[in-house]
Amino acid sequence: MTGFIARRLASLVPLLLVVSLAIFVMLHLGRGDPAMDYLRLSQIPPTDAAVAQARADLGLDRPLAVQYLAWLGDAVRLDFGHSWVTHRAVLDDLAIFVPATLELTAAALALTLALALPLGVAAALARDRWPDHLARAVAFLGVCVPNFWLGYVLILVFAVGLGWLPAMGRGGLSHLLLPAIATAAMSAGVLLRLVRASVLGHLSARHLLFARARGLPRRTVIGRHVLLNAMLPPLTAVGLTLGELLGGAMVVEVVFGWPGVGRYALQAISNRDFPALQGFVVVMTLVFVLCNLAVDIAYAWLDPRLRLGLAGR
Amino acid sequence: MPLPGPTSAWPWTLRLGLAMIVLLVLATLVGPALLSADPAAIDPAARLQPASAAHWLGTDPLGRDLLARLLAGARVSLGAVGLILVLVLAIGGTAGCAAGFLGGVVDAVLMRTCDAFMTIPTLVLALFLIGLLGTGMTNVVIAIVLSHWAWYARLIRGMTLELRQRDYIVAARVAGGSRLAIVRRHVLPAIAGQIAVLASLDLGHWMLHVAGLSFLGLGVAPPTPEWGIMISDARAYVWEAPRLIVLPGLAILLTVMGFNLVGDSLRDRLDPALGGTEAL
Amino acid sequence: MAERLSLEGLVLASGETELVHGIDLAVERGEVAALVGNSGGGKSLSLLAWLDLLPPGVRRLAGTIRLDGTVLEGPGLAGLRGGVVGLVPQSPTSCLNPLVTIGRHFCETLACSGRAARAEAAGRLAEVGFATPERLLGLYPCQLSGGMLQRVVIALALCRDPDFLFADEATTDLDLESQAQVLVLLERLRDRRGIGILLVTHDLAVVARLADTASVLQHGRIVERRPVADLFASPRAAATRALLAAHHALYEGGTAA
Repeated sequence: MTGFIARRLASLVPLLLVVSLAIFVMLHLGRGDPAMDYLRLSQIPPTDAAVAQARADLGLDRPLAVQYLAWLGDAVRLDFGHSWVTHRAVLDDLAIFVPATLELTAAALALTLALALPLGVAAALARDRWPDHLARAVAFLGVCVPNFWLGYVLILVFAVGLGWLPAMGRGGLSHLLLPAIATAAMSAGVLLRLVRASVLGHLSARHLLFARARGLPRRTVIGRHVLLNAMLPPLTAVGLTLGELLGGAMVVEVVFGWPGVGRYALQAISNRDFPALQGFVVVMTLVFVLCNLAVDIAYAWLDPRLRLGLAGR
Repeated sequence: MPLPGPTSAWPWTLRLGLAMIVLLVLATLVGPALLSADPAAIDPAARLQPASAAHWLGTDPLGRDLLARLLAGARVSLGAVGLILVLVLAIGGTAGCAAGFLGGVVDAVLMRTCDAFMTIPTLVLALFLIGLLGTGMTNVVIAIVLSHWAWYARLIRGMTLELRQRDYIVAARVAGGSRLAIVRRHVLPAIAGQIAVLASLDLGHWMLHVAGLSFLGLGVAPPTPEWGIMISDARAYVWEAPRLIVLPGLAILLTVMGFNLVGDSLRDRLDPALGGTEAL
Repeated sequence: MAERLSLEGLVLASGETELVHGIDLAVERGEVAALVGNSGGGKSLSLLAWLDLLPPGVRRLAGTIRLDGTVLEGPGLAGLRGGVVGLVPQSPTSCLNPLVTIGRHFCETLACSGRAARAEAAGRLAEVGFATPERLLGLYPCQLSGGMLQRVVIALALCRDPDFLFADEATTDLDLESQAQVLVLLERLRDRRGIGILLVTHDLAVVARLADTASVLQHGRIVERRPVADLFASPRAAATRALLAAHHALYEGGTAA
């Protein structure tokens, strides 16, 4: 298992290098002349001398390769420089906003799993009967509904109409519930369908025939031999779902006034605050990659074929 | 062995989805002509009116007709989604065919690039790109295209690689056909169907992305009507006039449903083995 | 202890198509009966019908199953599984859950856990010829070879001490050495425990070695049923002669065809 984790970690290095290169190239090609934005945000008149000075300060006059290596060196140390707007270190700013987004994402993930697993299994075991139709209709609705709009509908019903839950802000569990539902709807729908399909596929697995022929009770056959195995394919999807959830959380944050990284990114976008923007993209990508690593490890822990390096058997 | 009920070529989900989309497109094309109201006409005297004969869905805080704005907004959203579809297929298709057919360094470089684009969460990448390029619907489209092309490039590369081994393609190559001609005449027609089905599944997804990014205020500039920004503009009126939020959202929901009904039915037809994932 | 398990007039159908047209089969204690025939003849389905394990879409239209004269239906048939009849299905590599250890497969079948279960499981594995069975219990199916898996599957099928063993192509996927091991094992089970074995196979070498009587199944009908020696000496049905000719051509380089 340690070997597996080590191999998996080692394989991240080239991937992250490629990602960093891609981000750097986009940054370089996409942003126009950052010196101008820098001067505008610092409220310095853009005279020729000031532009040249700014370009030198920002290191834009160096060869591209040197700029990349310098940028990479900083990025590895999570040093993204200082925001041109707040003049604080970008990492310090992110340390304030990212945890709120992660809290919302984690709650949404928990909700996604809590909905998709039981409903998906129930749907598969009751194929083409009413629980199946109901679960699939719910999943379809979840996949189609815009998350930010669902947020408002939830506020209208549960905060304004019924007055059960607070509409805005970050706080205890009660503040978390509505935004988590809005964030989770899409992923829960996607995952529910996957779980259902996976369980249906595993119901015809050959080892079930032998399990039944040995006289095992239905409880054991379904519980151990169908569900355990059927959880593996959806587990892979959970990794991808996390990307969806992170993105969804950033949009839903705006609806609920949740003080997360989405708001920070929007500020950086409207100010063209490039250090903040690159810090945002690097940190969020790292979060995503590490979550996927966790999912892979969980997968290997469940599946001995992977853990023992015997894939394909 | 007779299979349990051969699936109809036109299941009700496909028919319903197509009907919804056709109806929507017709409404955006014909609606504004039939409707006397101008989506941009501000009338402070008629602000926040409930539904009436003059304004079927009422008016917004500036006295503009909500129905007229919804129809005008549909044009923007559908146009953006159509453009995304074309661009994703063009970029993903070119990159995928090139990687699969040329192989070697081209393949390696393109696939590593895909890895990079697939590692950054979609919406994070889109926000980053909009931050670099600036706001506006064009840049929203570019951002969504750039955050989705890699998935298609991957898929199309796989299909191309598989096709390369087929006899008729090998024959065409041996006969000295140019690579471009082979791709155009043999590869593209062979994968077009499958790709079309996959893309139809993503239309709804892109629609949600466009609406979400506009909602964040990154899309069209304020006077232009668009569903996402209409919801954002109506935020202050949640208590006073919830229909200003509810109706544009329903419009998005129904459109995405239409796309997904079609996409899901087509996918089930393409691959009955995935039958467990039908739409409804 | 049951003496005789029989099946009379079995008719199986999938949709409108009849697959098996009224066959009779029986196994008695201490005896090995073989069911031979080409692939697709309905051999495996007949076995599964006996235990009410037919795949979805295949229905039993007729057929009476008796255990020592008592007619069994629905729940009675399910009650045969494991305790009265051990089934060894085709292709052992896919018979075990890849995510579950060998030890747990035994625990759940024996319906007990802990040290007692481990000792019992180790004993059962020793019976099928494993020298260090304790080592096996913590392993996953993917860590075993095909021959080892086949013997594990047989041990599992036998661990609730059934009176009868149904073996479906028990040797087909195996290399020669494992094949021989499995055959010796089956022989010993019959001689020591007096188990009745129903052997489904298309390999006449296995039949010649092990079986007392053989039934030849063709297109869902039994075309010939006789003691094995007679069958090999003077085959009557055309299907039997064709099987024998193919067998001789394969093993003795004969030209009869």
